[in-house]
Amino acid sequence: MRTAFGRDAFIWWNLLVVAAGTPASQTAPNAYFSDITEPAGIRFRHVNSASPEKYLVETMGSGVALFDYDGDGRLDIFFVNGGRVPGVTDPSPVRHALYRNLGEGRFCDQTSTAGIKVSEGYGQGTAVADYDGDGDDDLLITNFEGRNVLYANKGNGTFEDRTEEAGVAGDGRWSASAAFLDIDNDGDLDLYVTRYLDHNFGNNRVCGPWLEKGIRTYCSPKVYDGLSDLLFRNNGNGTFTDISEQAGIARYAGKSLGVVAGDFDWDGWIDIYVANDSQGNYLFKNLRNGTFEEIGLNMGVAFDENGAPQAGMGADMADFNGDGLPDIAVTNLDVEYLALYLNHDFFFEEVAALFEVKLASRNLVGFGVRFLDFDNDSDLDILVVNGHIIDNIAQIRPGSSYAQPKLLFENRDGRFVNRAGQPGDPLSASQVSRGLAVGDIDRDGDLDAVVSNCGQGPMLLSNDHGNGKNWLEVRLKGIESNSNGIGARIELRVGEKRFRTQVLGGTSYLSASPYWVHLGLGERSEVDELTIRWPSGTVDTLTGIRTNQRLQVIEGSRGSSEKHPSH
Amino acid sequence: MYSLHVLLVAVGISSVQQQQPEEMPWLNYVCARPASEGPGHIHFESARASEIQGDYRNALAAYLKAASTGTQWPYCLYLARSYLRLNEPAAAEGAAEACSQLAQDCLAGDLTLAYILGEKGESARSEAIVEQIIESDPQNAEAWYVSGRNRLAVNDGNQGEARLRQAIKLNPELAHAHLALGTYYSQEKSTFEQARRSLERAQALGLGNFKLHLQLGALDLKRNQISTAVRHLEKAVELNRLAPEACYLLSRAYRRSGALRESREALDRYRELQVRTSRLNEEIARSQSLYQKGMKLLQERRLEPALAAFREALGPHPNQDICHYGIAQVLALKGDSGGSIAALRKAIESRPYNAAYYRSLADILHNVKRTAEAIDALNHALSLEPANGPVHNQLGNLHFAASAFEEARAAYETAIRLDPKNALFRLNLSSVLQRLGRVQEAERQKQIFQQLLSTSSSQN
Repeated sequence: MRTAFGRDAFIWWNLLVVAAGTPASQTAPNAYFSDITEPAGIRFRHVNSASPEKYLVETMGSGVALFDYDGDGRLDIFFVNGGRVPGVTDPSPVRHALYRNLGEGRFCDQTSTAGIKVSEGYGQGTAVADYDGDGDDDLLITNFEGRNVLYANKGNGTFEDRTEEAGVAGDGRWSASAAFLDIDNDGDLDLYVTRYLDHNFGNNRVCGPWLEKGIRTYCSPKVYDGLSDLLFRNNGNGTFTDISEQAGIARYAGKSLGVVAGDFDWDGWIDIYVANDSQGNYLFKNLRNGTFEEIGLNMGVAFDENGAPQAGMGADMADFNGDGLPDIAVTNLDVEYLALYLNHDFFFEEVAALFEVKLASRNLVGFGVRFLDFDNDSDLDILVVNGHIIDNIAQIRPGSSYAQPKLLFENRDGRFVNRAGQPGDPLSASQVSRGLAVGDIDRDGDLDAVVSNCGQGPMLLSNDHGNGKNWLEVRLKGIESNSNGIGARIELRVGEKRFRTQVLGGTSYLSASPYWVHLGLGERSEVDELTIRWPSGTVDTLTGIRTNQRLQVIEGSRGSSEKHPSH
Repeated sequence: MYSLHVLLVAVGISSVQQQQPEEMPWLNYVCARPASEGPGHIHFESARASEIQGDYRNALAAYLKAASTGTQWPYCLYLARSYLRLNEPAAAEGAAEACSQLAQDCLAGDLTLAYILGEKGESARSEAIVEQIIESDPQNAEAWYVSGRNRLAVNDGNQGEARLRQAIKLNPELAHAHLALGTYYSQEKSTFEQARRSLERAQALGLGNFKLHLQLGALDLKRNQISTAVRHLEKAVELNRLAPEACYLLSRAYRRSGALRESREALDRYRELQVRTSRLNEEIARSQSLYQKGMKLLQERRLEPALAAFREALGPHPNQDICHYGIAQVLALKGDSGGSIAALRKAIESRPYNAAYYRSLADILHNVKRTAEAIDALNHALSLEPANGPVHNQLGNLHFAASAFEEARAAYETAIRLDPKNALFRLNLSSVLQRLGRVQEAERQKQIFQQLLSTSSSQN
């Protein structure tokens, strides 16, 4: 399919795109990332409409997506905006923002041109995938007090609202994160939407430990009922059917925020992990017949190390200890900590203390989280973005603050060391961070990040450190399997070392990262063998692969590659 | 509001406990020991016996009797500790504050107050007190211990660790300092070995409570010492059968030891406790929110909606004290004294250790001329916060109204002892002395009143 944007399967391997260095940015000596938000031309500002009525939604959003909407091989950015709350007098519409990546570290706002409308309801999360199998990524926006909106990518740089036709609007109650995934391995993408609380502007409650002193706060989720999540099966014709009941999902009324769809037990069927706020997290095991069984408690991934529920926000899944099994990370409230669930033959142990992230994360309220190999040294590090929920926390708990710094945990010999926090490091800047998406935005061979902040502008972080080592980016193109390759398992053999990873649905908090799999390879200049196990059952094996390239693998064929310009 | 929680905790604790090292070791100071004879001693011994049985409610009752025999010191220290054990931090603070004023030459009062403030989450206030103690007595191990706990509570790990280590250096027998340090060290793999040593040292010093066994079990689980983990966690469950965390950890330890049936049973028990705890927490959170809504409406003088919010907040748990308290306030404003008194009595029934309820009850009873009952209510309030000058003054007013002038004089004098610069207390004392015919003393108090008043106006 060729379009005005030169869209076909290979044109986006545009060899002329050169990562010619980022524009002037706020860089600190020895910092791993620099803040390039302003020079990149990102002007978006999140509108949360903070009000004296303290509607909880004001402090919970919103998300961000990194995806290549125009097929030019560069990652574009979509920011979800919040909305208005009752009593706020500003009548101007609240706009989401779609920024097209022009290369050379520059972005331009294409929201209106692309046909993205103003926020319906109060915007929360986003998910991206090629749900209609036409070769380009479509866009879902979840809402509080508003229908969820599905924009189909028309392949010409514009989107069209196909929500009603697709049947994924939901009932207007509070939706949060979403994940596209193929639950039945039939080659089209189904959709999972987490829902948080049965709360709306009309049933807002009054909370605050010091209300007598005039200090009202956002309520704990404990004061509202939870909602069951939604699971939609793709009918293969652009429409979906709500199968939440029959799939066994609707039985569980959690207080769900983050979601990651991945195969935790390597049985070839994608499972669903859901982070719940103030109650146990869910692990829905795919029973291979369109139904799921909730096994979070039995598997040890529901609670903290002592069995206490935490305030689950964001989640991610990856093998951080290199034993070939997918592990799980969940961000939580302060006085709790970043939970790390280590997979021991499909039974998990919470190991935050063993891997030494517990104390470092205890003072912070974590939201977006991603495993990433930011330094390309072939093990997985963790980036966590933070910000308190209670905007006036400093009045209640001296020493705490609404805006908080980020955490960058480097994987070092079986433990994690926080590398954020040096003077001038943009990760040290305190913000009210919520969403996080990770990808190689400047195409220089290391992973960058974009962070959405509540009531503030976002932060675009350029990785200045990782491209000294070797890497490989694998982009999958499903034919019999779903187009994005979600659920595919990727196995690498590099000398004596073996890696296993997978293409995940969802991840982080209210956010979407690209499905391109970035692998840090350290000093290795060649991958001996790369095997893709597709959800369809197809297995593709490639050998003798050079590093430092973007490799596209089309299901059932050998890959094609683009050599990295700087190598 | 917290009474259900208290009940759960109290029932879960094993009925007979071994004598443990004192959690507030300054109670062993010579100046903090009660006399081995005297009217309070029998009640004191009875309280200690109840404590060993794990019966903290009876212990509290006995300590209250001991304190009512004429001398508050040092029973107020034990009263404070009892309130804390019964999850009544406000009452504990009240008792500790009184203690700290009653014996200013004994640090046990200040340390008790600092410890209780720390337990209440008021680490900054607590730290201000212990910093003063450390400044005047740098060798006071207990002050370093309390300070270390405060620092850990605000996640200042380096200072917390350093201060606990200093406490142990000064007094290696401080079992609870070893426990606190071991708990801290258990949070990072690199310090697991130090954690083990600290916790085992606490155990060697005689500590064998639920928390210690839970910590040892959890640590051994992380260190892959499964058989000892099972042993400690079984003991923790035995000591507190209502603690979900102990059942959870035990289930995991059993599973890793291969005892799958036992693991399932422990997990089932955990699930049952967890569901109950979660439901209770949610109900409490919702009631608190409705209570807050009621208070907001009350401040706006929207009495009917406020009353509805408080009544809704009572919902599934009709014994939630603060909601009854809210109802009492609304009814008092509506002029329904009878209803207000009834609501306050329900609040007191649910939570008998909150002095504010007794003070409010006294106010309303006084308004409807039920002075004797009002005096009784204020005496209850004073048993909970004996260092509250205005309440002593209020008691004096009630006695004065009942023409019990000697009792009024005593109450005013106590109020003045607690707050010598309070002009109103002086004026009231002057009035009652006048009534008692002690004209010269009355005149002197009046002069002091006028001096205080002029000082106050010149300052203003």
